[in-house]
Amino acid sequence: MKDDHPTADEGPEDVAGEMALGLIDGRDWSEALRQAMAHPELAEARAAWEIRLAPLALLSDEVAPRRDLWPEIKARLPANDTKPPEARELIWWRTSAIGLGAVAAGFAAIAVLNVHKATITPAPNIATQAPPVATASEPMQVALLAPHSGPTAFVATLDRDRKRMTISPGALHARSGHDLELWMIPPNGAPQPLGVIPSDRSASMPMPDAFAGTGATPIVLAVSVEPLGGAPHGKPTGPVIATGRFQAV
Amino acid sequence: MKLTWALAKVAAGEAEALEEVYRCTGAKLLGVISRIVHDAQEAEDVLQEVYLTIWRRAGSFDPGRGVSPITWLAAIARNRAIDRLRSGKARPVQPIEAADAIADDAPSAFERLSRLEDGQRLAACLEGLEVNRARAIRTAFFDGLTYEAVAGRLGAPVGTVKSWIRRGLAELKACLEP
Repeated sequence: MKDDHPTADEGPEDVAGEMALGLIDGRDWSEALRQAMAHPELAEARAAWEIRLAPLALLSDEVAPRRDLWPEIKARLPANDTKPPEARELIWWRTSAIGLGAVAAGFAAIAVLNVHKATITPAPNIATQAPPVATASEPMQVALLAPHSGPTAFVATLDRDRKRMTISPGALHARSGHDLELWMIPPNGAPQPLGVIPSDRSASMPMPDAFAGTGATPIVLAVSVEPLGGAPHGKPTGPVIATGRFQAV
Repeated sequence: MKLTWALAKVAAGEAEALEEVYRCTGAKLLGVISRIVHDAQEAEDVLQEVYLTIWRRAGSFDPGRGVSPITWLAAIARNRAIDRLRSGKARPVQPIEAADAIADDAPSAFERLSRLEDGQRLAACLEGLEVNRARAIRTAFFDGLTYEAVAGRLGAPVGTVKSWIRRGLAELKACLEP
């Protein structure tokens, strides 16, 4: 398995520039996208390069779209949206919104191989702020899910004895008209949907098989903003607002 | 200013404002996309995605950052076009004939670039780069080429091109953000 950076002799800044220019393809591209999902700072660096170089793109000659393109775009706007998802509510992540947008863009570009959704049941009895404290006999792990810069948005806990995963909202502004969806991103794979999660209370679900092993896991958890009911085709479509990994407690 | 206001209204959920942004920028952004995604229908498909992205993300455009709206929009268009090309959904076409009207015609490109809202500093910094580095970056950028394709275009080994581009980008960043 590869480490945090695609290869030892290139830094994240090199990869960010290469992604912005479009210099890499095939497996290198998939790997770079995966890295950008797992490391928001890489996605932000790519977005920064895109902004730096964008004036060059504007030298391209104009190409008039066919006349009936706008009605098609209008028809694709979310029907009951009176307000687009990223408008104003999640103030705390707006500071890095461009980078997170790039994360979402990369996120959406990856083919999702497994679209199985786990059933999630509310678990109102679980505390929403403090992660449960593990006792010596319980192999408990905790993941703090946060945006690149900002407070923890979710706390996920893994109880291997009971084979349950619980996710609780932390510093999060509730929003209407959209759902939050939880994803797991394996080291060399596409994001897999784990279902829509509530923003105002804890939820508990069966532990995904991927977490069955012991020790630290390389799997990244991510939360994205999606249309009501979750991502329509099993692929993330909205911005990723928090990511994190399980650590032993 | 007109575009900045329109984006603010898009952020507030006004579809009419998105139409205004589209009317002002659609042809420009389709031009940006068409450099990368050559199939006309596919390019228009990407253009649709771009405006749906703008609809969702208009609230994250921050006029206080010193980036003009059209630069921000062009960055989104290029991001979507590159993602489409590299995710294997688009058929990669390399129009050798069009070999780079823009990239090779450096002096006039620099001049045009320096007249753009956010282009002046970028033009000056690109002009300050060693000539091979600047040419490699421009060649890669305009058509979204891979290292291998840039190497073919410039008749240089891939390793050399890689080093031109990486050093060029590092210098460029230092020049743009002193």
